[in-house]
Amino acid sequence: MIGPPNVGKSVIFNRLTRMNVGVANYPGSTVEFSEGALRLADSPVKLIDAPGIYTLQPASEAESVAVALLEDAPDLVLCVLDATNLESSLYLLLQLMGLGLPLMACINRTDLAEERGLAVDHEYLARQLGVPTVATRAVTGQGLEELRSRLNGALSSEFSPPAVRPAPSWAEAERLTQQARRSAGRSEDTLRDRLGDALIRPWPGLPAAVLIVVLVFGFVIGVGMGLRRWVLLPFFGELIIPQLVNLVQALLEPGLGREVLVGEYGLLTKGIEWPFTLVFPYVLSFYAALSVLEDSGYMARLGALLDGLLKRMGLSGTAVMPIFLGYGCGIPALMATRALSSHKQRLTVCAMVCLSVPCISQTGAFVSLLAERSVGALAGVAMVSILAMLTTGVLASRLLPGRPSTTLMEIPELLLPRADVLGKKVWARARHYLADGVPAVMAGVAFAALLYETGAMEAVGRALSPVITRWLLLPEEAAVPLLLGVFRRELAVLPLMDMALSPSQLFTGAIVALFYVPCIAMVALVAREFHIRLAIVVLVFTTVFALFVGGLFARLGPLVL
Amino acid sequence: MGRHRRRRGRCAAADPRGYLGQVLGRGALAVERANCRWPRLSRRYGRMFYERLVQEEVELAGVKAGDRVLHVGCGAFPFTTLALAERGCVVVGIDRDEQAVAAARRVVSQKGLDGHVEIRHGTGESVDCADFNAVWVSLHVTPRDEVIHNCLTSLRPKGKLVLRNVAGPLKLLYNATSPAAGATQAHVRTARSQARSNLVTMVAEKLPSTDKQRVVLSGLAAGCRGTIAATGNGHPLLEPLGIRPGRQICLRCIQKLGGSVVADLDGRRVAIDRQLAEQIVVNPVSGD
Ligand SMILES: Nc1nc2c(ncn2[C@@H]2O[C@H](COP(=O)(O)OP(=O)(O)OP(=O)(O)O)[C@@H](O)[C@H]2O)c(=O)[nH]1
Ligand SMILES: [Mg+2]
Repeated sequence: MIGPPNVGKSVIFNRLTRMNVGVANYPGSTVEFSEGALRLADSPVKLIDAPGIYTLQPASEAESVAVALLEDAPDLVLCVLDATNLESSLYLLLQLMGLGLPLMACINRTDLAEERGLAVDHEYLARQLGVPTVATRAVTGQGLEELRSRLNGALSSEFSPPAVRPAPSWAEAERLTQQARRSAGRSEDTLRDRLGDALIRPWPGLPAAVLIVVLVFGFVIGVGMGLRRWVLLPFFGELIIPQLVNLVQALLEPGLGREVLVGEYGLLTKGIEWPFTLVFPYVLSFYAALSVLEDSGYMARLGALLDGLLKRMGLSGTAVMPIFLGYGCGIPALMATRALSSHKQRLTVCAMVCLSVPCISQTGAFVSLLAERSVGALAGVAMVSILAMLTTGVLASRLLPGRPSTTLMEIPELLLPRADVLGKKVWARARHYLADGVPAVMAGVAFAALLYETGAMEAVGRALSPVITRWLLLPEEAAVPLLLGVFRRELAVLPLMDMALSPSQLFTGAIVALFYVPCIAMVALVAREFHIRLAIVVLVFTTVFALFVGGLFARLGPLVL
Repeated sequence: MGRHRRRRGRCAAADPRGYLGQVLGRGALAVERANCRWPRLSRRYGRMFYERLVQEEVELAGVKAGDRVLHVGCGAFPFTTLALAERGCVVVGIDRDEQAVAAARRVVSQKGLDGHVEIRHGTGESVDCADFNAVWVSLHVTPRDEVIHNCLTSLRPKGKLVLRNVAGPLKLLYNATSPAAGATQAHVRTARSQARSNLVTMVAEKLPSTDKQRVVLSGLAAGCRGTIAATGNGHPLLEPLGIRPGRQICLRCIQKLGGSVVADLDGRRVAIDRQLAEQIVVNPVSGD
């Protein structure tokens, strides 16, 4: 399945294969191909969702993935066309026809075209080009049954290569577009259009952007706290955990086993309390907010508004997407950098995300740690994080070789996010957290429990004490978050909660955690996406930098707080 | 690099820049003198540095044998002038240094090219280009913006201006000319030289004078429409996003802090980098 970015390939893919790959209303949401099983009347086939491409000349690493897929001689290429931007879609289709592969086309987003008073005569196109064509509306599922049966037909019939065509030209794409277009009713600027335009103009767009960011932040923290206090804490903290503790205490004799399960770092106490009551509420609230931003098409508008600022960091407007994703989790953020047009941009964003963008798990932990003790410290951490991010960006753009990038991005239409889509997205992310994040936290806690109960922790604490007690002015126990923080970012924060620290010490601990090693999974991904050397640099630099800056703040903190 | 052109003392102080530039410039002059004295050396040198470069430029500009070509800043040993003449062009070389002009005349008659090449005394800021099919401007020529302006203004429609521009580390020594410089008067194309990796060739083709009121995209007022006349070259996404000559474009807004320009192409909103937008030339459509 090939097509220009943001036409709805992933939506069609999800509908046809019942899978749940990422969908978002901006170009470049898919950066990797996904395979899914598609049951057709005659035989099951493998459907592949590819990143969007404008032409067969890839402009980013994500686009190269799609072009490379075409070289694997697929049995059929389904080209998804955009009814609202037919011309460039047709150019891509013409290019694909030149490859001599069996081809089918589907014209998507016909509802949006109609709203603008346009209709596309897909039968005319099918006749002109000799490519079977159907019209669809992926979000409602209209036309997908026909697509399914046509796919079946195309796959079971013998393919005859099309007659040799002249090289595709824009003139031809323009001509075909003119001829296939039918007007359908009046076209007028809809409210969506007007609102969408207002949000990109500096006025009222910039104040609106500030308002939206503040609202999002308030929503994430407020709803997260609410969820925690009213739902998750009562459920886990008062219902599940005490029961488990009772059960274990009834079943096991006091000893190592019991301490590991319900002791200081008990797998069944902290191992459940931390991930479920302290982090999970914020994961839910953050992804609810992010999904609305993504699906409405606001992210790209924010990118356009902040373009001038991003330019100072050698970035283009499209870099907003991975940075925002980074506030959720660094892994999708690093993946999303594939859609950026230059290696330099990828590296810059990678540096920013690894060093100074806390993921939502860590943010949740910060809120749990600081919000009740010292709101000023929480605001301070947020400020330091933003300042550090901007500085990293500016420095990276100066120091890394390569030319600054030029922005050229399509701004998607403002769409009203659909509740079912949002629900699915939040659920997909929550499930991901439950399946990947929670076990990692529990493993970390179990590891800590073992170290603690066997006395190894004290030894480590003593060994690290010059750094921790003398330089960071923290108690020896603070070695725990440093050890655990390598596994998961929130584990660099949460153990500080029970240490009875002063506000200034809390702040120091939070700053160290902020800059400290991104989780081990991210380091591994840096090695895979870039280079093992860069991963090592990230590991060493973040550790040294976090400790260094932490020490400075430990000395500054008492003066302010 | 640029071993010709006029005498150091006459070059405007800013270009080539700095001390390093002066040393190089002096070196270049010495090499040119040596070339005048020893013809064998000059043949080698010319072949090494100029022949392929000029060949590329001729191809890019589409200059044919028999065309009348002006070379601004030909220098004491007019390599480019001679190379152009060898390709069958009728060439006039000008330089503002009298001594260089005299030396160049000697070289031309030594080569027996008197019928094809004429060397004159003159400057790029004042020369009239109306008689020529194409004008070459050498790397060292200053003041660059004035010379470009004069040449583009006096050229006839379809006349071409060929500029050597620097790329890479040479930018430390010479001011690079932005392709935006002539954008409203001409259609500008650029190409990195294969023969000399530190040079970029810019060809500006003068547009018909009917398009007098052309402006660059970022010069339109918000809400104004225009027809795209030229897009400069550069970004691979320009064409797919509909930014092609002949298409209608409507400027929506310009972002703060040197940010992008948001435009509308047939219903599709696109954010365009300020620098790209400065190379997109449009004919404003009056009306709304
Ligand atoms: N109104 C309407 N919206 C659609 C339709 N199809 C897709 N969308 C929306 O378009 C947006 C992009 O959909 P995706 O499936 O992520 O697009 P994609 O082609 O996979 O995009 P890339 O992965 O970036 O290439 C989503 O917000 C969808 O809800 C449609 O037929 N009608
Ligand atoms: Mg997709």
